[in-house]
Amino acid sequence: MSEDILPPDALMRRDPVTFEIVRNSLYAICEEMRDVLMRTSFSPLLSLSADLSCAILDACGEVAAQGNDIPVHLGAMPFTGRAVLEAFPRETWREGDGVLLNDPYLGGTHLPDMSLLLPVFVDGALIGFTATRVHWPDVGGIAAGSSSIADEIIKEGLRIPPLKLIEGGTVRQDVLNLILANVRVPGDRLGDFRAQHAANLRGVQRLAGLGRRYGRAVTEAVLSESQAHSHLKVRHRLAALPDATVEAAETLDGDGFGTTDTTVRVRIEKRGADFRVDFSATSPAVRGPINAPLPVTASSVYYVLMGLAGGDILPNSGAYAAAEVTAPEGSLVNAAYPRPVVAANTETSNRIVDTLLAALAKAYPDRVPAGSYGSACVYTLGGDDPRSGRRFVHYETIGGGMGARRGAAGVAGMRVHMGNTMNLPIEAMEAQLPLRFHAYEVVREAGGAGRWRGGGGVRKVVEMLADGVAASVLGERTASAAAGVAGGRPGGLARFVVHRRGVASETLGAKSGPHSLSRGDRLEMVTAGGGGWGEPTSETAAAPTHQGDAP
Amino acid sequence: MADRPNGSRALPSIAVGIDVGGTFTDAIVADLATGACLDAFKLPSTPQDPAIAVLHAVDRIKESHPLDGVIICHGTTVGTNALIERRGVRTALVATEGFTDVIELRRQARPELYTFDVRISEPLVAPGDRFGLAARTDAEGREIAPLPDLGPLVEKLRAAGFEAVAVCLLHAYAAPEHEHAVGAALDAALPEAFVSLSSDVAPEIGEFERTSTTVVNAYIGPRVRGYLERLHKGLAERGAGGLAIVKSSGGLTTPQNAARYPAHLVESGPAAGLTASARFGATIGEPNVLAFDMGGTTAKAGVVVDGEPRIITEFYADSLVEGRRTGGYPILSPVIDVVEIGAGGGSIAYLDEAGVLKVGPESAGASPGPACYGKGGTRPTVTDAHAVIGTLRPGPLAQAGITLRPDLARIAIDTHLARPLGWDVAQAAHAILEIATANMAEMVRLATVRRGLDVRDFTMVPSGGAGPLHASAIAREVGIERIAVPPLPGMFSALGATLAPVRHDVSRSLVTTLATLTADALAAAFVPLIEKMDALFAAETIPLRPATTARLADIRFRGQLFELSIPLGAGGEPVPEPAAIDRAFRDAYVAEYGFDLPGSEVELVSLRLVATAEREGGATTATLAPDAASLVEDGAVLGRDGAAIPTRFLDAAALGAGHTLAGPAVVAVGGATVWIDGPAEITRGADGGVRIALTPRADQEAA
Repeated sequence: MSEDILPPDALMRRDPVTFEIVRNSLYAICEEMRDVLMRTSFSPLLSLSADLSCAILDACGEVAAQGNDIPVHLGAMPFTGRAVLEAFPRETWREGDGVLLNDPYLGGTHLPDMSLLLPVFVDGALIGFTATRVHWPDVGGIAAGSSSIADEIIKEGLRIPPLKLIEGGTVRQDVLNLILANVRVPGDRLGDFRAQHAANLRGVQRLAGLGRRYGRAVTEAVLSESQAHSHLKVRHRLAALPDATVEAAETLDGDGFGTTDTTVRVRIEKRGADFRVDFSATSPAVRGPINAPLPVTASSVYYVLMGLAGGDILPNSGAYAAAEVTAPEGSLVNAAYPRPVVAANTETSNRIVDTLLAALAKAYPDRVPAGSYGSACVYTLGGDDPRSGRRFVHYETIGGGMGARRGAAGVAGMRVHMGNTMNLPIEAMEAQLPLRFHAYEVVREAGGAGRWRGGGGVRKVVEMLADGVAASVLGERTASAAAGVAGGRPGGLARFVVHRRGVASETLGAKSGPHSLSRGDRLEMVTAGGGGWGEPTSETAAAPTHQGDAP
Repeated sequence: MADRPNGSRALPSIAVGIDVGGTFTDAIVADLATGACLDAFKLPSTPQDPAIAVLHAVDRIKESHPLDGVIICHGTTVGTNALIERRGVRTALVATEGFTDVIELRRQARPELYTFDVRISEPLVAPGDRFGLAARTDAEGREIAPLPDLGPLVEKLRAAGFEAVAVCLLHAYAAPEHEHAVGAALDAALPEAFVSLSSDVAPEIGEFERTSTTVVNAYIGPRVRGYLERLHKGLAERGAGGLAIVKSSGGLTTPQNAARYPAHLVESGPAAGLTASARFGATIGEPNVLAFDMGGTTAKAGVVVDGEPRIITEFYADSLVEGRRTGGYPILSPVIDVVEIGAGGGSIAYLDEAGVLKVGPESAGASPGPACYGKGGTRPTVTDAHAVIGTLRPGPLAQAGITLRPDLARIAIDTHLARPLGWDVAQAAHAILEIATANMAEMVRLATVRRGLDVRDFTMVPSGGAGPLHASAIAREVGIERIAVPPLPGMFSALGATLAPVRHDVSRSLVTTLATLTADALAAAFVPLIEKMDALFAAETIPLRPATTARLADIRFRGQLFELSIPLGAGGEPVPEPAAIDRAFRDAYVAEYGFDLPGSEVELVSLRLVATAEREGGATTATLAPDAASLVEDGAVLGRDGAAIPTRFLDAAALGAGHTLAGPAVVAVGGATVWIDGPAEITRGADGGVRIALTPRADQEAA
């Protein structure tokens, strides 16, 4: 394989054993940071859903190692590192500093994702950063949960460009107060921030310890060569595939304002070990919040590349750099200020993935799954709990059908592709919130027929036990079904319905809200199924299986 | 099933421990009063019915020891294997209408991120075998919708011939009445079926984890019950005094309790090993033990803190399949906290596409096995590295019918690693061990550092076929300075079974802020737990000393969702004042996470009562009679640079008591091999094992 990017005296060649040991430690540190964050945070979205990501960056801001967290957070992390270093160059950092940001146009993803970077010093020299990206359940804006339908980013919540919130180990309380004054349920957000800070600090402590144990030079070499190693592996796998140039287009369900020109058009060129993805023919940016900032689009490409390469390569900036992404500025996949973006993380990113997979299926049908439910299906509920008098915000994602693969049915009711947050236990939510759930079940028939069936969608029904609950839904595939591959049939569609007492039921758009719901009203959410793989046979067409079954 | 205890019966003189492994069934006979090992042997396991080998072992013991009154202590993997191999029974699930698929939807996440080949542990109940019930309670336990007529449901289940039924209704942890009614109707209509109620098996909030636990219990229940019945009958025919089963917590219990909660037995085998580590540590004055077990395909690490095995309340069974993460089956039960990785003697070493050396998780297994076993294996393994370096002795392998072939190991390492890397074989062999050591060191850090424990406070106790070979290298890597190799390290789980106490854990949810709690109310809240505990001990058949009980509370900051377990003193003492509990919690929180939250309220979530009782007249320590053989020879192992390193080879028995040997050395202890790869002081313990004090090497000062 090509070794052009590695000097002959690289640590990986000279001392592969030390390289392997230190690199594994880097990835283990990311897992430890995640533990601390989940155990000390206050939002169920963090402690139970794990909507958070951890990484170690080198001194250039590139990802050297990352946790087993959220792909859309992590693929965007190199952009975060670069933006932070542009705002605060290397020589300006002191031990104990920390930078917070959430600006999607300056290193962030969407406003609820708060990123915190802390520098790591060994022998007085900056060797890298610990980074966490944490979804705060609320960052202000027009609706509780900061995930509703707005026509500019100013309405989506508080926007924070790279901000040196922590100086010499001290959090700037006045600035933190400013942030907390602009979000809902500030007490819990303060707890979440402390948890995030503690996780970053744990990472700093561990990485600095590694630096002392193995020496600064070795540690810096591993931070860099970890990326080179993954880069080489991805390119090696790419080179083993036949060359191809393929195209595909998929149209999103709309932006909440009735826009219909919402098509992602992609052209992928795989030649030798090179992988070029061109979105030039994609629709322009739209009024509603489905616009993707470039880091979100790039994340989606990186995810697909990693899956195509085989799924067992350690992810980091080096692996990601094996893809070349062209996305025209001002388009749906490279939006600019002041476009609203909140639904791109959860919805657009997953539809970009399905578009990329649909293109790749034309060249490599055996290696990629059929279309999936194309969504995270975010719903948010917020209001006052009449029992406690306390304000509440509820933010949850709902799984759906994964596309079938050659050899295996799609999984039902799972978070696919760009997200991986867990559901919130119904019993815990009913104990804490004025909500009652009436269904959480698989919609089996939504799995597209095929030699192997697509995964089924999910039906979730929740009743309000309080008046004046603000409800928003961000979903996909109410209009365009998940495509099958190699003769497989498309999956079933999503739908979102409000059932009010004494009134006809109202079907909502895929992105909709905030709606004011009253006690006794029910919100019914059904996510889409995955596409099938291969022509259905008489048995597989008749009998949906739960998941993963051979026919 | 089990007999009532016969209080007037004389105590037996021996303790028997039997552990069933994949290849061998280990048996140990120890003097009950002194713990001296009287007999220890291995028989081939009988996977089609593990009870056969157990009863064979008992027959052999009976040839030289009277069995009257003798309790056979047994760690069993019957439930574990039924789960992992999907050989449980066809099970029905009765759940709240609208929520029958909770078991399939899990927590909705996928276990691996960047793969299209997603693998998820398949639900143990098929979609068509899930039944909804239109009854509902809320989180406060109030009835929202009453139970319907159960007749049609029960008839459907009866007609379909289910052998097991799991019942899990929403909020049954708070209000078990609906489940009780369903259970009563099922017991009446399906008397042969194994019925598990979530409010009985795992009365904790969280519908997926509770359902999963209840379903596992039902799914493996009939298999475990049948096995225990066969074993109990066979033992009775042989005149033994009874049977005691090791639970996942490491404690013993009666076959009745074991058969009712098979989900509590899934980690029975490793639990016995950790109990042995704790007891062995107590014997040698080491309250903090890092138990390290390594066999052919996996390595495990668990910790004993202040003499107590670390216990957690939830784990994921079967979550690693063929080296892939699959999610597994959550089980809510007290279980020893063990970290396991796919690293063993059979782990295969290879070069990945970028030319980096990797070891495992793929294993050569029992067949074809390592290249040096000469049974057709050609790919290099960890064991082959030892064969090349010279740490593997032909003697113990010959007993298992294997002729050691270092020449084949050299070829395997040369072909697959050394030549492609441009190295010589010695360097490649050492590199295999260094990678394996690094992987296992990470596992040890997971079991210690990641749980807020400082490894330097621990003594490593290695066990399993390969544990003693790797102990010294791993200890150096993580910073452990003391190693204590126990007697019979290769039969540690069987030994642990003979030493285990009877243990029961009971708990209840009680969510309240500490500020609104009084010591009197707290004491009153423990009363029902004490009553439940008394009932469990009343059912025990083993003669026991008085139990010691410990109170614990799960506490968190109000608004958080993870708790810390805070001790509230021994059973007989007055409960602490809430203000003292508040302080203890905040101190523990700062120690764990590094910060306090002065403005936040402290909330109590649940109460736990743990009681252990030692066996009457039983030893809690083990010793090994010195072996007559006492080989000592000067030899050499192959260094990384290809040069021979002079190394002493000897049997532990050859070390005079109190004599000290300087490393490097290779020492045989109770059939296992200990490799001390560098400077160390080695002494023999009174129990027949060896103690190793590692001397820091120059290149390790910075650790």
